[in-house]
Amino acid sequence: MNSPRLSRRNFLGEGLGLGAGALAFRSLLAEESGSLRPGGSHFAPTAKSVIFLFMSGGPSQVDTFDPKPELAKLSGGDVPESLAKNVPKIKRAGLKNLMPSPWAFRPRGESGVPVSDLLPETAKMIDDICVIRSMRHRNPVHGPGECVAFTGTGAGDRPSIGAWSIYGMGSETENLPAFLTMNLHSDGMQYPQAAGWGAGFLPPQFQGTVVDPAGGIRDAEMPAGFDDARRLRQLDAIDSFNRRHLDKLGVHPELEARMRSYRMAFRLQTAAPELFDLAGESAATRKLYGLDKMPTEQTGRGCLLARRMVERGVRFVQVRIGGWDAHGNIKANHEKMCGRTDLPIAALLRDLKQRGLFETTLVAWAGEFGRTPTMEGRANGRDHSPSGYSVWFAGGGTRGGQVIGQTDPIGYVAVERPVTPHDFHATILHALGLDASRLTWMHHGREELPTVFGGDPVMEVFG
Amino acid sequence: MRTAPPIFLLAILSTTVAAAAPGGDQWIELRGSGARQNPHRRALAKAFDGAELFVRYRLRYDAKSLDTPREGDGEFFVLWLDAAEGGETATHSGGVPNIGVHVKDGAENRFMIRFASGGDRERYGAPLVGGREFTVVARLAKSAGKSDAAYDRLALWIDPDPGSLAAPDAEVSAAGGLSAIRWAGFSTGGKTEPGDRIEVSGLALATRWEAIFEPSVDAGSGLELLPPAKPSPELELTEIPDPPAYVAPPEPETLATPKPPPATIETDHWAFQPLKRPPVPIPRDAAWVRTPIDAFVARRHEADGLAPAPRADDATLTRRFALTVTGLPPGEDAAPADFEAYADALLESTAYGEHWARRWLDVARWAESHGYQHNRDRPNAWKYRDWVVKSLNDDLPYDAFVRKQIAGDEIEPYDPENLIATGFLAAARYSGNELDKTIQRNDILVDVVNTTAKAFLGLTMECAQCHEHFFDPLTQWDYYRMQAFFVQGQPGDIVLEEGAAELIRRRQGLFEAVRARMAENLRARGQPEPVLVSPEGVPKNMTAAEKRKFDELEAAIARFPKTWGYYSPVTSPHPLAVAPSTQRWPLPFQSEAPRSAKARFLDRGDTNSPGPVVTPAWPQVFGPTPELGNRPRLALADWLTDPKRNPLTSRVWVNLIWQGYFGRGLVPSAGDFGTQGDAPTHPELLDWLSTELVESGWSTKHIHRLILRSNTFRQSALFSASNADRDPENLGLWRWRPHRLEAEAIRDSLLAVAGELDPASGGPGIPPAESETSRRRGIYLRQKRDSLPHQQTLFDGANAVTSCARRQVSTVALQPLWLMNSEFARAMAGAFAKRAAAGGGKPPEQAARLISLAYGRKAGAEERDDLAALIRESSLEDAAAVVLNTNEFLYVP
Repeated sequence: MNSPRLSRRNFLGEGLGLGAGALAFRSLLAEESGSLRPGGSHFAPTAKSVIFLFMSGGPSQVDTFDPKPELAKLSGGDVPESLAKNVPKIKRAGLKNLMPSPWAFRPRGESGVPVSDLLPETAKMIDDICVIRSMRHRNPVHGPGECVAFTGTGAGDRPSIGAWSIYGMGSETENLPAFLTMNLHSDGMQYPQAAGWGAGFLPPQFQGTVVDPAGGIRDAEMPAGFDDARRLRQLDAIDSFNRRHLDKLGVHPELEARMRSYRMAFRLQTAAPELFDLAGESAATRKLYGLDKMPTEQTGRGCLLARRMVERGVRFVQVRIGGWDAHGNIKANHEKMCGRTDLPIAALLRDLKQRGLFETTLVAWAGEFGRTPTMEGRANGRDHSPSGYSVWFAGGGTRGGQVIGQTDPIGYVAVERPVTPHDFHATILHALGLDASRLTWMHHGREELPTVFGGDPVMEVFG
Repeated sequence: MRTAPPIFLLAILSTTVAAAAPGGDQWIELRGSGARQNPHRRALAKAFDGAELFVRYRLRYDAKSLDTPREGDGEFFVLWLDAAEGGETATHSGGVPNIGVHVKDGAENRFMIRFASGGDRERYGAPLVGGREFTVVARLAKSAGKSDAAYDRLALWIDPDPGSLAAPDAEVSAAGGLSAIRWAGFSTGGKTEPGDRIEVSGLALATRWEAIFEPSVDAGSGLELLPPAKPSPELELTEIPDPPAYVAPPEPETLATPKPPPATIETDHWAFQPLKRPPVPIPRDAAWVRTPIDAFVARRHEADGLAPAPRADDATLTRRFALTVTGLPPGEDAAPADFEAYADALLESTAYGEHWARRWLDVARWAESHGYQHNRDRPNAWKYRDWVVKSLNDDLPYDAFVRKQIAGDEIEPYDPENLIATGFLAAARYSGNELDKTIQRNDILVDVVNTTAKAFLGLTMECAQCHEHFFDPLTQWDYYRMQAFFVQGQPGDIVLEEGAAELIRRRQGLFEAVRARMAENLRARGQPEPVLVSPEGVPKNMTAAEKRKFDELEAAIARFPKTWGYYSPVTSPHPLAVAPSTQRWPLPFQSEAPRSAKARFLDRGDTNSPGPVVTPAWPQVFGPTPELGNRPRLALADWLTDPKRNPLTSRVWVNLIWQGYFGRGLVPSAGDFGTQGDAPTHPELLDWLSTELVESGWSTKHIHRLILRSNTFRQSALFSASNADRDPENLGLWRWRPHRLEAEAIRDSLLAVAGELDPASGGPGIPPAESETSRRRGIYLRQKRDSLPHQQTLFDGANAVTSCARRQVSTVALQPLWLMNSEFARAMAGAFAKRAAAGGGKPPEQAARLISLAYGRKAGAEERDDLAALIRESSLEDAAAVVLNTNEFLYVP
């Protein structure tokens, strides 16, 4: 007997023995034989999606969001003893030759939150941005520091915050992976840590999918010469083979899941190219993101894609932008990096607002650490410093135009309302309606949590 | 291959070069490096800016070094004429005349002249033939003729005779070139691979065409080439300062005073109980029992009211045997009459070791790069992978397998294989960005302890790093005492032959002298302490003479065979050299560094909170550790492999083997035998197999054979509702449960059925750029951390960061996309279709052939007709892709 001919609708919708019920899945990736946490939030979420803008290399807090006029007075001098005694004894924590910021700070927006002249476009959005100036951890090294920023520990063997998020909340789309990540400007820079989008001990379907902003999702496009009809003809045959095979074996949930994965793959084949095709975006939008000029083109594309992903129901979007490691020359490095990122990131906030996505999308901006207020050597650069640095949140139910936490008078150490990366993760989860202390996974007999060393959401962010 | 000892080689290099006078017939051998290199540069006696200049050299391109652009990426080698010398790696292009060999149209290696690469400023002559001597002649001229005009015309002759001046092989012109020449030199490039050998001789410049046919050319014309600069006398090897002596860091103050460990620790957890050989039960259904394994399994069947599935058919078994033993589908004509003989044959094939080694590499969290942000490659790490393959194929007794990996450097007599085996410990990640050496060392030790405990003991020791283990009878003291076994060693590129130590010492002396000078300069310019000099910057700050010497030393060191291993100069009886590594902040190079290293209790795992010094001991729950002597890791290995003192090692290993066949171990949590792991489904069988392992002289293949002979293994996958009611998860093994092939086996199976598999075994990992085009088995793809081969990650390969005893199986939509759309999968479908078409026939026959090639069984009528319809409506290739995407192809049947 020949297999039944299938229309696209039939293939996707019903028939083939599995029935429509098989398609009522909650998540494209998080879909596996009932072994997962039942979906749903612990309390009302303030955000549906997250865009995590990760500034790899470590932006300097005292040159961006944490003005320290004191540095001008102490320029060239040592860190005063009264402050030096609080600087954690970690390598790289230079205590000599304080260096003022080459940029002026001024109050911005109605809130008057100060932002340096490095970030003129971000500054215009400050009333929508909640700055945390008191981030703190202990790891001053890029690779482990990046693992801390994404997973909570330097080893990077735990699930990433994106993996926890989609484990907790599933996906809003049946056509795209729930967790997408882009690595921009990473050539010759610090190697992107796979732990940053890894699933750790969670099942592998919770890992992020790395996509190339220019090329899209790997292998998502049908080869030349294929159209839906030809591909459906193949899928139809695959399904017949699999059905006959399954009939011989009886019950096997994993095999059934594999059969369903072909339906999802087919949808992804259409949805992914559409996602990455920017032809439909207006000239005004392209200009807004800086797609029309060199320094902003790459970040602009990443940010615009982030918006398109969120628009299409992707739960967690990560954009990693390399190049912030300003050892040699803070001025040249940060001018270059802000030239690349300031406009597109501000554009993302503007665009989310004008499309009504801002309220449901949490945007987070952070590096793996900040930088020392002292000069490194004689090179006009700054070394790594995890003792007190700035990050920000916007949208997704957060309250903009406010500053949380303080560093000491030279911006070295978080002294007021210290916030750890675990708190930062708990805050993201909180926006998604998840209580980090109740989001658990059994591993080696222990109920593992996203916040392994404790961690509480920074509630002021939302208030 | 050059086999001369390296010191001697240095001498050869300098004399060879010095003897190569202009016009002389001395041949100089130059070698590729896979990057731009200028291994031979010569100055003219004075700058030349005349209207016309001829240049000549003879070339012999080693035939074995030649690859065509079809096989590789072709060749590149040129003579350049430039105004400046440039450095070792300078590019002489953009208006600089190049006369040599390059790839034409991406297809052929030809002689070439150019002013710039590509386009109309590059022209080609005759094809290059390997192993043959050519005379290469070029004319460089100025159209304008004035001395300050640019050289804008270049012509080429290959093997000319005096009458061929008017008929060059190629000519090219370009504006904007040089107006004067002062230097000539040979460049190799990215296409000139390491090991490529090129010989040149008779380099000469002349103002007249006739002169190039004479042995000595144009004396007094100003075109004499000076001999290559000799190393400056102050840089004679013996004058290189000694590297600074290692200064041990001061002993840290003891800051933490932890509670002393308990006097004794007892547990009634099954895994820690002594290993006893249980009697083989005698079940009622004696007919089903083929081997003792079946007897244990049958007893559980009886106890749980389960009926075993019937034996699978021969075709299914053939495929199951081949896939589980070798990770490859059976050959087309495999129809074994005797499955025991078939099992033996499979176990004797190289493919067996290649398949099972991958599983051990997961456990060993093995990779070929350091990891973290710089993620430098470990170019010698592949030797460990090959050693694992070979050890399994040779059925190296498992106790020796453990011993060599834990203590290879401590074993006598010296055997390079033992050092290679320590790649297990050396696979630890570390951050080259870590300035804090205490943290850097501790991170490595933590990695080593966690992996060792999981790999051999099946214990999650990592939980005891910061506090007492919550569940298992392990203390934080146990954790740091375990570290103490390893504390006096570290990973590195260990040199496997004698003779390198002095070269390394001198290289290091030179390096440190330059580094000290750089630091001094920075200090003099007022840089505050500590003055840090990145090791990568040091060679760039060498004088030309220093750099030449340094490069010679590096090249000489590079010729020694090395392995990425773990070595302690303290506890190893073998004085071995460790090659220097250039990382931003590498491990201390001095072999003295580990001498003073001590393990300490660390409060909360924090290196800033050191507690008391601890001495090596195994976890206290196993009883007291005696005096260990001066080979601590050997003592650890002895204890690990002594079933009387430690019952876990054999249990963990037979469980891993069982898991490799059934997809689930007798202890399903293969990496956790602790109280939070799963209890064994067949505890007596586990112990029986463990004692079999020991009594067979730790023969791994013996355990394989026992499993392969059993009826348990040969059951069909037939579902039974009544069995499923009693045991839905098939814990009692009442049927075969098909499990998905691992990532590598999927790739390898595609290659095999497509007839594309390149069975070459061993050697350096295949570079990432070739992972989709290579036809070799997946185990040979280079394992670079954080960018593992895409397909391997997609199908749930291990992460090469933490020890992985059991891979998970995910089912995500990206997997079908790879199987349908990727370049690799499409190429396999295409080749598979061709293979099926080769037999001729109409669509039904082709369909039947696809099915029998892929599944190793005869096609059924319905599926054959289905597929034939697809062939008719779409194509044979589409049908081939369908078969390769089916569950039946991707699961062990």
